[in-house]
This record gives sequence, C-alpha cells and structure tokens, in this order.
Amino acid sequence: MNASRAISQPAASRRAFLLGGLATAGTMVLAGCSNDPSPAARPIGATPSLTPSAGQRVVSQSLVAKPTTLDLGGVTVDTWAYGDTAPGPLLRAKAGDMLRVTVDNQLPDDTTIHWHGIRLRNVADGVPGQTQDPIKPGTSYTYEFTAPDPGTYFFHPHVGVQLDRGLYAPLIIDDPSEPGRYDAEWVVVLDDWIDGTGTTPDEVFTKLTGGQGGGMDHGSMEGMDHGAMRGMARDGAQPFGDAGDVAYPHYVINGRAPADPDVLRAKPGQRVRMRVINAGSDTIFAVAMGGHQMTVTATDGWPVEPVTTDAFYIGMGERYDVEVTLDDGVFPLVATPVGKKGIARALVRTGPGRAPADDTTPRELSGQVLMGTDLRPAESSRLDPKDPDDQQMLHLSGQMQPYSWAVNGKPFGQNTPISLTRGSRVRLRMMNMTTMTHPMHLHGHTFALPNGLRKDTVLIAPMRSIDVDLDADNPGDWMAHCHNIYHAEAGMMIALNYVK
Amino acid sequence: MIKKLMALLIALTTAFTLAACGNDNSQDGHGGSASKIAENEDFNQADVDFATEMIQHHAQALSMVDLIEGKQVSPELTALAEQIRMAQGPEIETLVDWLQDWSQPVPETMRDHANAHGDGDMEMDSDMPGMMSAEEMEALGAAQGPAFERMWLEMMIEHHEGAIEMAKAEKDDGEFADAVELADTIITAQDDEIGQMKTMLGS
Repeated sequence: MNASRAISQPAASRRAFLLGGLATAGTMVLAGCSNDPSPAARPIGATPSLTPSAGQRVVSQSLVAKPTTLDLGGVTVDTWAYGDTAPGPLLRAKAGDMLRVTVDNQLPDDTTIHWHGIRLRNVADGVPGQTQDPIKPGTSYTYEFTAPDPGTYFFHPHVGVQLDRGLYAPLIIDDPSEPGRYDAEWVVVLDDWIDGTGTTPDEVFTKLTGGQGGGMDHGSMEGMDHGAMRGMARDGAQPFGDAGDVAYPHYVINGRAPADPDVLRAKPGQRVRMRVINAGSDTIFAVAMGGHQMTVTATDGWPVEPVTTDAFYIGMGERYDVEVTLDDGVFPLVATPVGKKGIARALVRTGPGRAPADDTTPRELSGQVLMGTDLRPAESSRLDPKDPDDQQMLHLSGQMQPYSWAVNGKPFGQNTPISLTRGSRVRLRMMNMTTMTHPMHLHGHTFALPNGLRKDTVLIAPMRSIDVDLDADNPGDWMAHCHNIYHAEAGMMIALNYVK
Repeated sequence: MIKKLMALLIALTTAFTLAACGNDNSQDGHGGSASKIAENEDFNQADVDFATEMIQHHAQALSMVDLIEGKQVSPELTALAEQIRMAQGPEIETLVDWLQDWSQPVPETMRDHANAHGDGDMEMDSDMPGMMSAEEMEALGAAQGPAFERMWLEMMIEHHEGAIEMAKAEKDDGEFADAVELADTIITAQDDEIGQMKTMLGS
C-alpha cells in the first residue's frame, strides 16, 4: 500500500462510484466473493420431494441459468440470465398451487433460487448451506413448494452477488377470488445495471471490499458521482441518507434502457394494474408516471388501504401494486435512482404522439412521494392482535473502510443465529444506527410494522429503529438480511432458526 | 512500525472522507455547524454541540455492546449491555430528530464510518471525554474471557463518565428544554449504571 492509494480510496468509498470501463478484469482475485454465503456450510443432502395434495394444481416450469448476451436497448452486455432475457420468464400461479421449477445450471458458478416473499416450505428457500446444497455448474435441481398467498413476488439466486447480474424474474401468485377490476396488467421490474459494462458484480464487490488485486484504481475517481453523497437528510428532501454504494451506468425497466424502452400499449380510460418490483442490488427508486396519479393497493403481496399519490419510493426487494387510469397520449413511466444520477423509464402509449425525451423527469416526482412505511394495512392484512411472546434484536452496523457490514456486531457466519419458538409471536427490533438506509428482508414469513402494515422487506432509514412482529408459524432455518446485495454479501445477514 | 503507519494512514484517510462527505455545510465533527442559529430560536450552539457529540459518543457505546457478540461473558454483562443498547439507540434517534428539526448536519459515526473493531477511528472523536481510541477498541475486541469482561466494564465506566461530563455541560449551557431534560436523564441513568458496573468489577 502506498500513501496515494490509501488517501484516494475513501474519497470513493462513501460516494457511489462508477466502476464501468475499468480494465482490471482478469487480474481480480475473487477471494472475497465466496460463492457460498455461509462459511459454516455443511452438506445438506437431497431435498425431500413434495407430493401435491388431492386436487392441488401443479404449475411446472423449466429455467436455464446461463451466460448470454442481452440488448438492453442500445446497450449490449454479456451477462448471466434465465434464458435469453432479463427479467427472466414470468412465472405465474394461483394461490394454493404447487410450483415445480427445474433449474438447469449452465453458469460457470454455483447457483440457487430464492423465491422472494413466498411463505414456502423451508427446504425450497434456496439458501445454500442452510436449506440446500448449491446447484453445481452443469447440474439441475428441482424446487417444489406450495405458494399459499396471492401477490407480487420475484425470484433470484441466493449465491454471492448474482442478483446484480440478469438473474431475476417476476413471480405472480393470483388470487382466485379477486374480482377482475383491471383492464390490463403491467409487470414493471426495475433494475440497476452494471454487469457486462466492462466489469461484473463480483469485481464490484472485490473493489468495495478492497480485495487483493482490485484496489481502488485512481481511474475510478473520474466516475465519481458527487450527487450521490448527500449525507443525511439535511433539508428533508432526501429521506434515505446515503442510499447506495455503487453508481450504475444504466438503470432499466423490464430490461430496457431509456433510449429504447419497454412500451405498454393500451386504450385511454383503461384501468391498469402495475406490479412494480425493485430487482436492483444497490438502488432505491422513486417511481412516477407522467401526467398521472397512482393508487397504491398492495405492498409485498399484502393489500393496503388504497392511497393515491404522485409517486412512491421502492427499495431493493420491495414490491408495490398500483392502479392507474390511463389518459390519452404517450406518457413516461420513470424510476429515478435515489441519491444517484440516471434514469430508468418505460412508456405508456394510448394514442398517437411523440414520446417525451429520454431524460424527461415527470413533475410528479417533485410532488408527493409516498414512503411505503406510511401505508396502512387493509383489515384483511392485519395480524391477530396479540402481545409478543419474545423479543429479538437485529442491530445493524457496518463501515466502509474496510467495507464490512454486520448484524449484532458480527458478519454472517460469526453472529449468533436468532432462535424462534414455533407458535410464538416474536417482536424483532431492527436498529439501524448507520448513515445508510437498509432494506431488511425476512425469508419464509411476513411481519407487521407497528401500524399493522404487512411486509417482507422494509426500508429502515439512517439512525432509525423499527419493531416488527411476526408469527413463528413456518418451521425451519431462515434468513434475515439487508437486500442491498453488497451489504448482504459483506455480512449483513443473520439466521433465524426454529428451536428443534 | 508498519502497523502504526497504517493506522496513521487510515486516520488520515478517514479525515479526508469526512471532509469529502460534508455537502455545502462544512462538517468537522466537532458540532461546529455552518448553519447559523437565528437569535429567536429556542436552541443554541451548546444544544447543537450536545446533540452532535452525544450521537457519536452513544454510537461508540453501541459498538462496545457489539463487541460482546461471540464472547464468553456473565449474564449480568449481557443484560447490562442490552440495557445500554435499548437506552442509547433510541436516544440517538431523538438527537437526530432535533438536529434535523434545527436544520443542522447529522454527524457520521463509527457505526459505519470508522471501525468498530479498531482498524480505524475518527480523529474527531478523540477530544470528547470518555471516547475510546481505535487502539483501545482493538484491544477490547481482541480480549477474551474474564479479561474481556473486566476491560469492557472499565472502558464503559470511563465512557459513561465522559457522557455525564458532556451532559453536565449541556445542563449548564444548553437552552432547548428537551435537550436539557435528556441531559438529566443521561446523568441519572449512566450514574446508576456506573455504580452497577463498579459492583460487577467486584471493587
């Protein structure tokens, strides 16, 4: 180490920095990027198969996880994806159906699939070393589980930082009893994109962790995004403090960059249900549709008291269902990355007209931007009123130099798993005394915020705590972690294991 | 020698980061705020300094609590550490609320800027009473068994004494009623805990 490098490092550390274009590939040592997030991983053995119950419908699908080349709309990238698209193919079933999904791993790396938000049986949760052995390159694996609750979900690997490649796809569980109140549906998947732009997510992680061979080359300073470093909300305009660690070269909606966007074609006056999913790895978005207000009807699969707003925030791993009645014309659907420069957009076309310029920011984004935690639950989404039987702490901490994140004082693998007793109501206190916002995600369960709102992923702002209640009704060994994939991989994760 | 040099470099780089982190408000970590306080406000510079420094001071206490993870310690220490966490975490939230209400910068803390395990520390902390140096935090993190517990108690007593000194200054010079009241709460609670810790040390 020499002085100039040491001094130049942190300048980038608290800012988002642009890693694209660095010709450091090939010299990377990926020692820091273990493919298996569990250092204590033991072989799990064969996964018990699941037999559908009498009359249960089985939805079967095959996926191929493989390296591919994608056109993001004017940008061509080599990446990894489920098939030859990102997002991957929509997986859809009805509540109560059994899903049987076979994954053919043609990647040069181990992988798994995590069914984000689904209250499924533990063995299908996709956590290597905890619920299954990783799927080795050149092998296949079949996931079998029942999806009990309707809603908007997605799936992605739970290995390393593979989420930040093109490995993600929407998963919709329909409600058989839901009245058809919509004329159209639009699944909107947001993502921050860096893979194949001269670097890979593994290299990004190595740089963040100061891994050997990577370091913080001085060239990366040029891409520094000064706008990203706002510190904490000093003027109330930016509620999430330092919202991310990486400035991405592209932000995409349904895999398309702004220059050649995804287009929804519909008729004026139609009611559209948008299912918005943030599959990003390090980016909170603010979402708005030019010329329209949106009514939020559900989050993370759970109905809310409908709220009409100009725009809303969505953290990594969160989902929001919103209803829009379309006007006549051409309108941008825009997602701006909070605390970073750039824009993601799609278009809605209900009539003739020219599309607005690529970088048009709808004025709705300067209006009321809804915080998910301000939503109130629909009555049907509430937990039964009950005092907690048990309280557990998830105390978040971390640092940028060296890059390291932890729950309860130690990174995952060194921290003590939280014990859950089956049948109990458990209060988790998630304490975030850091200057970053962390989207905390719980596997296999949903939790209720103090106002009753049900979620499985919640944004915890800097220097804030939140108490969430859950019913320990799904035995197994589960995870809770930050859905910033770089934080999770650096250790901001903890196991929640049912007492055997 | 090399280790010392590294520590110095890290200290320098940390200072650099902090300098770079401030937006238009210069933020030197001493509570010195560039935002002017109007004459007719119900708070003064002492309140701002108290809130700013106590956030950083409390954050270090939380990091000391973190160091208990994975150590063999007595149930009394575990319980006391949890009590400290449940007092000081929410107090940080209150202090942050005030700084935001007053349009004052919220300081970075060792919860994510410097190292809870001693690889780095912020020079800016060193003039606050009871703040542990990076070396002290590192030594604590490395200690095991009874030696760890004893060192933790001794350091937390010193840390609490520093907090009480800062709270007394707020009582003398502060203007914002809620902050003066919190200073009282801190003095009472931490004084009790010092007594408890001295008992645990077995005098």
